[in-house]
Amino acid sequence: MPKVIFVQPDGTRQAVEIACGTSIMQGALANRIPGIVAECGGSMMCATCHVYVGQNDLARLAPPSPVENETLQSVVSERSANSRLSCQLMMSDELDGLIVCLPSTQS
Amino acid sequence: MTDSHTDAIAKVETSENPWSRDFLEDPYSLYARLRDKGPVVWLSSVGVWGVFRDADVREVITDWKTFGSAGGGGISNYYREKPWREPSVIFEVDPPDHTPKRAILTRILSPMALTKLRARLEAQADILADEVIRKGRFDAITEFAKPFPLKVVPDAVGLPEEGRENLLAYGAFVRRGRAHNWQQGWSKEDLDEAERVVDWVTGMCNRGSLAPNSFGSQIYDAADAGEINEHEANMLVRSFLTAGVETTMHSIGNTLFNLAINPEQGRDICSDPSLVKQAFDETLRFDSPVHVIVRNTMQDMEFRGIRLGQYDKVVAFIASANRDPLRWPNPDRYDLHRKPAGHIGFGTGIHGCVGQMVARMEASALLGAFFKRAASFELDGTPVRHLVGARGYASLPLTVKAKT
Repeated sequence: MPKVIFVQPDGTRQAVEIACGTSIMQGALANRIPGIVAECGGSMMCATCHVYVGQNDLARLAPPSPVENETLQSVVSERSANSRLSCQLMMSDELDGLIVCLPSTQS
Repeated sequence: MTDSHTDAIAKVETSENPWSRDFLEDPYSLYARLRDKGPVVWLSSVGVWGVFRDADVREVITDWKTFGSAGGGGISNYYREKPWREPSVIFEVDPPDHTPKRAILTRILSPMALTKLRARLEAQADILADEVIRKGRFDAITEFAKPFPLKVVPDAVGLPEEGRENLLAYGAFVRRGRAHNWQQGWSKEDLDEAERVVDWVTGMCNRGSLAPNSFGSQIYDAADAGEINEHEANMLVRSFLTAGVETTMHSIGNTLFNLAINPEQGRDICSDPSLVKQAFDETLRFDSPVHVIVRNTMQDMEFRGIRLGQYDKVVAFIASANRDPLRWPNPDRYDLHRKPAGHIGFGTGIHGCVGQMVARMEASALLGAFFKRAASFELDGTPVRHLVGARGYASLPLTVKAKT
């Protein structure tokens, strides 16, 4: 199974296996990764599954949809060029080793 | 099996009708039986497929390429009968038409946009909570859960004060119009009343009826920016009026009911009102006002080995998925201490409820105001079920003691 590496604001790293076709948000919740709230459960409405994708990994992802882009305006921690909603990042073998940094707060 | 040329599994069916009054009090034991019957069950009394398990329901409501929305949001099949009203331009439509409208509503209803609304909601919630606490005995629906969204939602949409009671009447007609063979059983009076209510609603959705800086006027801003046309703007305002009032009212009512019949949890929330958000989402999992999301197959296909015909109705029972023991531990227990994130009481995917953050904000304002003031509360009489459409109560008598 491909892995995602979650990096907490204090630098703690945790590698987690996530099944292909599952969102990184769902994988984070299933593995009790702190810092993902996901209040809306993946409907792109709450902006509480915000992550910063590793700069070197950005090219591996399709760009955000117009709706994700709208919701990213609502993230509580600063929005950056590498901000994404983890509910929209679907796991695949191509994403193995993806680095995902958590913001200091989601709400 | 008559067709020996395929590997398709024989159709599983039932004559039990989940919409029958027999299941009004407890639809959940029927859902449990139908979850066990198979991944997709032919509901012969209605002529639709039913899907009851969490994994299957999720697939049906998120895979919009296979299960489309343009055939109508209810049992009435727009591929086979004329819709009661012009189909919704957001709810009853698939991408690419759906996408720009969803983006507009997402922007208007985003958490950031809603921060401006919070103070107004909390002020209104304080007024209502003070009133019911002063009374001591009150009806949690007619005096609390109903007047709140009926005030704050039309205010936010930008409607004038007069005539708002038409919104609930309109909602009732929309649901009747989504039923199978909706043309049957409407009296002359029904038709006249429906026409009057529709005229009122259509007028309210026009540019000129809406207050500045409201949700409604922001939709017309999107029309001015060329994102949608004038007619689509009118139709999007209509969606606010169909979707926003009754659902919120019943989710708040159902939260109070479930806390009242679980007194130890009622005590917990009175001593820690910050639990309201979790309690509200647990209610959306455990006892949501909306039980089904309806799609149509886009072509002849197989689903979990069962053959479905093109444009067949597939009814995804989200309220059953939220009780699926494969997804939730102790699914039939209301537990405000559980983490209910990931329930699909608001649906999910591209058609997931776009107003869900407003609903959460309304609930946390109103229920928060109540539990900050309440030392204890209990049922004081028999709740009366609301009969048509959303699942909830018409009347929910409570007594409450104030904190000293």
